[in-house]
Amino acid sequence: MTDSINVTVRGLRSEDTDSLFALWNTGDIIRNSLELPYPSEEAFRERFNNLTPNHHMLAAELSIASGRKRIVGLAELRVFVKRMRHTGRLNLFVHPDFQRAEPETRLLETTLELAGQWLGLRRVEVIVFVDDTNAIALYDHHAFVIEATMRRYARREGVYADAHLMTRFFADQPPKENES
Amino acid sequence: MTTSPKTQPELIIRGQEADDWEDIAAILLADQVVYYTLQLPYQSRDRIRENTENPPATHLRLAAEIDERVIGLIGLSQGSGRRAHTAELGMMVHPDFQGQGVGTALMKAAINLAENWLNINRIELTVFTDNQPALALYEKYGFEIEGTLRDGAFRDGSYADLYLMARLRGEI
Repeated sequence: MTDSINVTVRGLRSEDTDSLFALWNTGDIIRNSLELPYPSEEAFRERFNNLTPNHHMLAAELSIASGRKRIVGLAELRVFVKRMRHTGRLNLFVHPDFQRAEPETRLLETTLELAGQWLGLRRVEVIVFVDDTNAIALYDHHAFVIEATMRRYARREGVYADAHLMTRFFADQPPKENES
Repeated sequence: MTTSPKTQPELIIRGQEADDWEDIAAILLADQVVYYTLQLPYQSRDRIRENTENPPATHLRLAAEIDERVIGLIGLSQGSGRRAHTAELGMMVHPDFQGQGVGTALMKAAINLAENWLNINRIELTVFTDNQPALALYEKYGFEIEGTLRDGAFRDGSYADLYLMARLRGEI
């Protein structure tokens, strides 16, 4: 194993859709999310190229020694509106080889920084299936708490599966004077 | 001599019509309705009219009518994809007509529509944790609290908690 992995977290670009499409069809990504199998490439392109101002997409890009780059993770943050505009819903998609590793951690931490420090969100929510212990451990490690357990939340491989709503809470911060 | 019993005006539950928009605006803009739902005050009546005339296809709305006036609403918003078996429920009753069984009639109709006709398996909703009358109605109709969303919504100057509740078909 090489230890010279170089990860960059950055905004999504239109040319990323091909590598995202490949990422989608990897491992348990579809199973453990709310995505449907057999995605259409056309619909995919449409979805990731037409973002509203309340919709933020961050990509984790890996630089490989040969100079090639590869997308190994995507974070999708959708901010609610009006009386819930202090809340965002996060979806995290990380290639199985890079889960519980630096690309996943960096992607999540950067997205939480965007949410808390720049968007000023108070709540960031994720939905995780109750048996997805890796995801639960990841969010638990980043101070998310289980707020609700939703029975028959979504279909998965022929059955209804229960899911947790986990929330990372950002407390009010005292206003800080600009240093002159 | 006996006096004839005072007849109660009939309560009718039916689909929402475009013509209902003025009665609906009166409900949506009532202070108490704004406080206990996620509606905003000062909503434009034009927007309410547009929304009433063109509801999204996945959004079904029923109206409660007394004396040719709409005094209550219930809406079901169907999920899609892997959540197509679910619907989110929202309801509101004009403050002058609360405590008269309007909510109960709307709830019975919405559950019938969802479970017996749309094949919905899970009906979910959120409610402010201090909205006692609504909570009592939801619990009576088999909704269980699945969790509390801390500071889930903003209300009159501060954050307030919401319960997430759901009713599962076949477990009642």
